Amino acid sequence: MNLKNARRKAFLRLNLKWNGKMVTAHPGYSGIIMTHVLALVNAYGWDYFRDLAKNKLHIVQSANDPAGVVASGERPVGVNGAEYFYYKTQKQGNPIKIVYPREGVPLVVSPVAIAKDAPHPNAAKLVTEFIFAKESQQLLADKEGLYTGHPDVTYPTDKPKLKDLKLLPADADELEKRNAEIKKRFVEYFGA
Amino acid sequence: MATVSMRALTKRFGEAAAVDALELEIGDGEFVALLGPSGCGKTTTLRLLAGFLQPDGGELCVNGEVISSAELVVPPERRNMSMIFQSYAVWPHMTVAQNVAYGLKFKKLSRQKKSMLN
Amino acid sequence: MPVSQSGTIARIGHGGRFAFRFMDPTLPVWLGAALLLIFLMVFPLAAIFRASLWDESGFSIGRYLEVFANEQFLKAIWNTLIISTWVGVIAVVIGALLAWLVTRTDLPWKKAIRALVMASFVTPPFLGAFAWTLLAGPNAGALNKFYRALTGSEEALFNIFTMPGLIFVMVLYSFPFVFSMIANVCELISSDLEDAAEILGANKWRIAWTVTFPLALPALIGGFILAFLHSLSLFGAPAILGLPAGLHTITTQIWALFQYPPRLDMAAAFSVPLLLATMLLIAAQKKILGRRGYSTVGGKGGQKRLLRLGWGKVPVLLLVFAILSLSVFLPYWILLKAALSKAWALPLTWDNFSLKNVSFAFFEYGDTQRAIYNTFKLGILTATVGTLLATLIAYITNRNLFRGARYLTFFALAPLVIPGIVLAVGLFIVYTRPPLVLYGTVWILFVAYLTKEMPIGFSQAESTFKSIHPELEDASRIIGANRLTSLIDVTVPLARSGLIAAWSFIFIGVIRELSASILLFAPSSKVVSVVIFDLKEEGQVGVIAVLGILLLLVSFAVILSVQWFAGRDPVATRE
Repeated sequence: MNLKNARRKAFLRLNLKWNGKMVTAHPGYSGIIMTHVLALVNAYGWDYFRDLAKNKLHIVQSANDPAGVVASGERPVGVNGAEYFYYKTQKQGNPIKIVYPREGVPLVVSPVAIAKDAPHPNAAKLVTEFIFAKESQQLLADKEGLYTGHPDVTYPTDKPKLKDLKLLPADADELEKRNAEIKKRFVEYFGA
Repeated sequence: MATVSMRALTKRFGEAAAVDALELEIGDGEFVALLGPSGCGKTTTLRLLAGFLQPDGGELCVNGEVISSAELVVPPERRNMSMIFQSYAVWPHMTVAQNVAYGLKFKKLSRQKKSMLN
Repeated sequence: MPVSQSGTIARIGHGGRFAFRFMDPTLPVWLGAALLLIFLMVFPLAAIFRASLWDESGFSIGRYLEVFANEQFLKAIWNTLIISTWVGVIAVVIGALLAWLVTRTDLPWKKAIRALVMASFVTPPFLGAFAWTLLAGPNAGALNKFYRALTGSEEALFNIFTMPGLIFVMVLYSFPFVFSMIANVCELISSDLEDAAEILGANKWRIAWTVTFPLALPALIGGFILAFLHSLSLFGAPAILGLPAGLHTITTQIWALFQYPPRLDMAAAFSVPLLLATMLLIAAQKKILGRRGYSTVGGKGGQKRLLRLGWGKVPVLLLVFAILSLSVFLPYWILLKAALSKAWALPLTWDNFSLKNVSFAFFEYGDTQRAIYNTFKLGILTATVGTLLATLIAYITNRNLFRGARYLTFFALAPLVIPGIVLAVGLFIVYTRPPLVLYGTVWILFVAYLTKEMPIGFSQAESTFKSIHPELEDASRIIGANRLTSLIDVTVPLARSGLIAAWSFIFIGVIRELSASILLFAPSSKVVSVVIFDLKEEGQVGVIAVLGILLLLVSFAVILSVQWFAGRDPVATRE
């Protein structure tokens, strides 16, 4: 499959060429996907999803699932999904290629936080310090294929650098407010 | 020695009365046989006597003390009576010796007496 | 047996007038068991009703209105109705056909056929659904690939991720229930009636249609209701096969309502109609079947002669084994292949062979190790406690221990009316807040399993007790043993094989349970079925196959042990 210079909107203009060949995860079951959908809705509007749905996508729940579906050959194209998981699956030897669209890639942040009323805030701080130490973050980058916030972490050469990608962030407050709307619209277009 | 008396003893199953206001006095040492066609209530009477059934009316007394009535019934294990059953009721999962010895557990006989009976 | 001795009777006269003489000292045991049962059953149901009707602002039917006004929910209800009806009809056709063939014709290899039907029965439906995604996924499925190789077509022969696909798989794992029920009835139909028809000149088919069929009709309707109800409560198969196609059923919709943010009140309101529908259907079924209900009917009635199939044997056998290969051979084969391959989609050559999946599942992956431990711990615990409780309750109802004892039967069988996921909703509501917070531990799963499996334990214990002559206990009591001692010394040893069967049914039911577990598990209390469901999301096909095969092997081992036990039992039937 020729995926050079893939542009997201091009898929849709090709009008059902990918009908029955794509898999998507569902925002109702995954926060990662919920964030992804919000970012794309802000960039392209709901029409993008409405047209996408015409291609009869295979729907799965978690952000990790599309990688498995693509690897098994059940559907050749994964429309969304956690990038780090695709990367891991690729590393296991499965014939997958990851495309990073030039118009933008939704950025999903996995934060760590200490609760305001935590009974042991100092112990919690020790944990967060541990997580954000260079060794831990390097481990996450090496073993999990994740991008981290630590400036000194090095990444495998076959992954694009973060600064070379156009990132589409999503605002947490907006996410909470539009949660129900996103789910409703997704169900409306995709059926479940 | 003991006497048994049944006064107006009644047991119903649904609408039908299997035992209907039975009056019976059994004196000390008497041998009594209940005869009758099948379904006339002989087994029911015996089961009332043994305490397996609770009467719907009347009383059953032994030595003048009420042991069965519509309100209360002394359970069979407390009546110190014995009964032989229509189906023989031999326990198939126990040996003959175990069958015989089983009841002796509850009579609190000494071990010596039990092995004598073996 | 000791003969009456008048001397001993005299002792009754002594001993005083204490009222305690009149009391059965074992009463607390029976009352305790009865109360525990009622508590188990009533609490979750009450919680559901309450959650759906009351909120902070007081009593309101707002949630019900929300449910029925929501298009998505209505679609889920509609899908469920269509699917369950189809499953009911097809399962009855297949189950009845097989039952009739096995009980009333001279078809060979009946033992093997029964064993294969039993294998279908024991296979968890979600595992079957999963295996069928490997077989009939439109692009990667083994069968479709084979078809494409054979015919050069671009299309798939059969897409399992469709409503017909879902119905197909649900039928495969529902028909064994119908088979059992109808086989039992067919066993009893005396050949005299069929002989009479034959003498009057009717041929084989006419006899089957005009004599056997009408006699079996109540059982057929009962079987339809059974299959319908079973498919109503399934979660795994619809989740695995329906959701990817955008199909929601009531069960998957309830599960979706538990995702972030959870809407417990809506889930409760959505559960109530399901509950009411199930109650109505079971009441209808009881009415149609009379008093036979679910217990297997024993006893023999008249002579039974078998219909001779003649040359028809060959095509019929082929048909039967074709059906059974769909539910057993093909899925098991693909699971085995997936478990032992590095890449399941490629042929199983020596290159591709690997035990890595097995070692990973058992020795490396913490989640699976913990889940296996939890599953078997819960299985053994639930089966043991459940059998104990069922024995006590069956004893109470069978010997009619106190006034109203028969009503306990209703409570013991009540969970049949409650789909697993609805039970989970109720338990979730009850046990995620004080006074008893069980959520997050294995104990909430224990309560769920105990409640859910009570009917099968109870009905097995009850039918076993029915077969033991009560005079065997009476004989023990008149000698001086109280009820509990008699139960332990006399009844239980005689009921041994029946109680072992009860234990096994509960155990097998627990290890494969998914629809309640999926709502009640927490990261530390995962069980194998949940892990299988989770791993499907990560595409860990090999590990899932290993776990699935583990469940099957353990289930078969338990069943075989039971059958071995049952063969060595003293007989204590009523004459």
